[in-house]
Amino acid sequence: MTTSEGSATSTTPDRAAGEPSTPDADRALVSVREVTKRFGDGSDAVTALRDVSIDVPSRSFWSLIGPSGCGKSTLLRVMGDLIEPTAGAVTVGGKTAAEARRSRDYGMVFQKPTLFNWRTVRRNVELPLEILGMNRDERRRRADEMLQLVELGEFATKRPGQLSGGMQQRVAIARALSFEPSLLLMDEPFGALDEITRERMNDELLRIWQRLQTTVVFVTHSIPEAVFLSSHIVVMSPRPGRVLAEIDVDLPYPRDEETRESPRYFELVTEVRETLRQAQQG
Amino acid sequence: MSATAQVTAPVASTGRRATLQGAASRMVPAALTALLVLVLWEAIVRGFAIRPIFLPTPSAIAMTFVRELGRLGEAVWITGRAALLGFVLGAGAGFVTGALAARWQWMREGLLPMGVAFGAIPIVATAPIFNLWFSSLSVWSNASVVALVVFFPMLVNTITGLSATDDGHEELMHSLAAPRHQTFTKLMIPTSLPFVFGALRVGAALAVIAAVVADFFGGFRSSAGFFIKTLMATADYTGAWATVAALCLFGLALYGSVALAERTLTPWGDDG
Amino acid sequence: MITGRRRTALNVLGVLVVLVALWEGYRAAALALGNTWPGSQLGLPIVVRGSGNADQFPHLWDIVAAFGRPYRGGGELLGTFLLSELAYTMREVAVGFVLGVLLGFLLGVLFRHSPLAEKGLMPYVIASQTVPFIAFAPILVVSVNQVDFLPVWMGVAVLSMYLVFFPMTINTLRGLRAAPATAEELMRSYAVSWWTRLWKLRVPAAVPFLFVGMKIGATAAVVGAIVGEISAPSSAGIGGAIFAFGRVSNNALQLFATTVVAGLLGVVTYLVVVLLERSVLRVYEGSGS
Repeated sequence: MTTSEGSATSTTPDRAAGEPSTPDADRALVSVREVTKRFGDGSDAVTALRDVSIDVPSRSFWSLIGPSGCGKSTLLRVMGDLIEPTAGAVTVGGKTAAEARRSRDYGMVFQKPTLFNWRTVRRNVELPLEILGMNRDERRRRADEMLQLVELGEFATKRPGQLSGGMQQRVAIARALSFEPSLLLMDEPFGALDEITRERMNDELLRIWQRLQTTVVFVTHSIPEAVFLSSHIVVMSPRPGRVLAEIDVDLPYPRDEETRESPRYFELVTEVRETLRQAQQG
Repeated sequence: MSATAQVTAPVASTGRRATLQGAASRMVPAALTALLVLVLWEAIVRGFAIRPIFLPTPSAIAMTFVRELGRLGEAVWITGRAALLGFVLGAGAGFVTGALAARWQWMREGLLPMGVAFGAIPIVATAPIFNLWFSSLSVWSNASVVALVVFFPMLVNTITGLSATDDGHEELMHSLAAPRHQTFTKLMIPTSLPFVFGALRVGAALAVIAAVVADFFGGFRSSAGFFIKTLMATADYTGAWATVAALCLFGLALYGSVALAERTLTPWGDDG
Repeated sequence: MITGRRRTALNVLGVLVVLVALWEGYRAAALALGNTWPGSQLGLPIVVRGSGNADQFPHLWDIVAAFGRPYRGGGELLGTFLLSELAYTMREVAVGFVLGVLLGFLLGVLFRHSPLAEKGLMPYVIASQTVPFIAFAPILVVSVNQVDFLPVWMGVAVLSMYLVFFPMTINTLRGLRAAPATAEELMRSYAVSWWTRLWKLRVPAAVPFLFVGMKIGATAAVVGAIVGEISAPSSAGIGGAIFAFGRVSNNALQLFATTVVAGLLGVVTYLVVVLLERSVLRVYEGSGS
């Protein structure tokens, strides 16, 4: 079938400061090539993804958005080597997805915080570092640093059960970043939070991203969130998931309340919404 | 007494993290009831002149208890040490086997139904066989019965507990490329602890019961179980009741120790 | 790829084969090594000696064969003897189980409807699970025996009942609480009597838990019957037979055979309840409740 048919509708590159002006496949950190994913076989087979190709440049913030069942979470998991594609390939920084996972080049934040409720907050953040074999003092220092970054420094000795949902997700983010991966994969991390908390978390996330300059691939079904956070949005079609459109978000960083109220913001939100609606009808 | 249903028990028990005040307020009505029961008991037995073969008075039991404290202590110790030995062996073996079974799917599939099935067998009936093998005068014969009784619930709960990991947690470990032994120690074992302690608590109760029953089948003449039988045969009913009371205290102490260990080692309750 | 029930059955069979192999293997090894650890004088934990009826680690086949032979020099076959003893024990198990289930159920209903009763008695119900009530067995059996109009086996049945009703109470209570809160509110909005609510909502919701209690009870009833029998003055029933065979050393073969029967009794009783559960739940799910 055809590859991404959305290139014609992307707006002219008008990137944020510090980003390359042309998306060069060689400079991409994550390269997805014609990935197809089928679950099951025979007549019961479900095609979650069909011939998806995208190139995520280094240090950018990309969102994957689409209706339920469009395969965005599946795509994220293929990138993270948690699911094997039926066809196609993924490279992360020149390595295969499997190699990248084994050398721990990326961190992942899931929909649920998935913290270990038998560990304190600090020990939760230390988990990847333990697996990496870091010594105790170094681990502790790094974990505390990360907790400071997400502004939860005083909660280091508390247990997850004592934190709110938003705070738990922040700990999960701290954990994902504790070993300084070059790539951060996030699967609707704020989906379970209320609107107000979610906006605050969005601000936090951008602040952290600007500090660390990690590459982020962010899955969401919230259009405002996608527009607010990203430099680039990949709009996906309903099942079987294909890339419908890639939309450049030319809002300047750093972004804040003013951004949320700017006319360009609303234009972009509308653009994404209409792309999605056309897909539903088409 | 099968404990296979205890797999669901951990949720109910570890959630209770009472404050001192909370514990006191729960104990007061129970203590009052105990007092009430004792008073009624004494009154009814005296009032209706019930023969001691049916029901001695609490006061008589208490007096006998205090008077024979030395012999009772010895008797309970003889029974109790078999219970302790068997408890430790059975629980240890159950855990190790369960951990091994967690590693290999085929073992799990074979052992789990067997564990449940063997839980239905009255294992205490094997006491005479162990008497035959280890001589009825050895602590090992009773300890073996206890070990078997404790082994099966421990096996079932360990297997269940180690597989009770959250899918999300497993995915997390996979995304972090954690080697298998680390997933075992960092994820599976902590997840299994509530289940393991559930089995330990059940096991503590079962251990004392099994030790006493093994005594019934013959063995040390000064063991508590044997005492009860002979005291009943010689019409010393208050003595028999006093021995039972002593055994109950031992059982409570063992159970309490396990519960205490549980509170200490799994302080996080169940708010996951 | 063999799946599901067949696979489980195969795995269980595999484990059984391993157990049989371990038994016979140990026997053969112990005899070959002269009951000592290889290259030392240290004795093996379980010594294999004796022969015929006194063989204390018999071939599994010999145990099976013993059923068809007389158990005392000339006379009744072991199999026939055990069958009648089994019937005796089964009566105790059945009576004890049924009474215990009924009593446990009634107590559970009582506790559900009377918070006062629960607060006062529940701690003891729980504590009872941690203490060796079975130590009461001789006391209980002898006491009941004293009552003239009660037959001897009734004492044992009472002990069985005693072991059954605690788990039944707890599980009944849990089950009666298991109806979803929204359904309870619905019933309250209809202003039905507690009796109607009990039978139309709570008991149906409790059925799975009732069966959990009954499965525990099935095993408890068998253990109670056996223990009761060895605490009684006579040597009746399977438990009595185990006790009697256990006292004399050259009855090892018969002892093993009887123990096997006791084990089977436990398993069969459990399976009966499981089958009952399956058929009831099938009707249950069929009616779409």
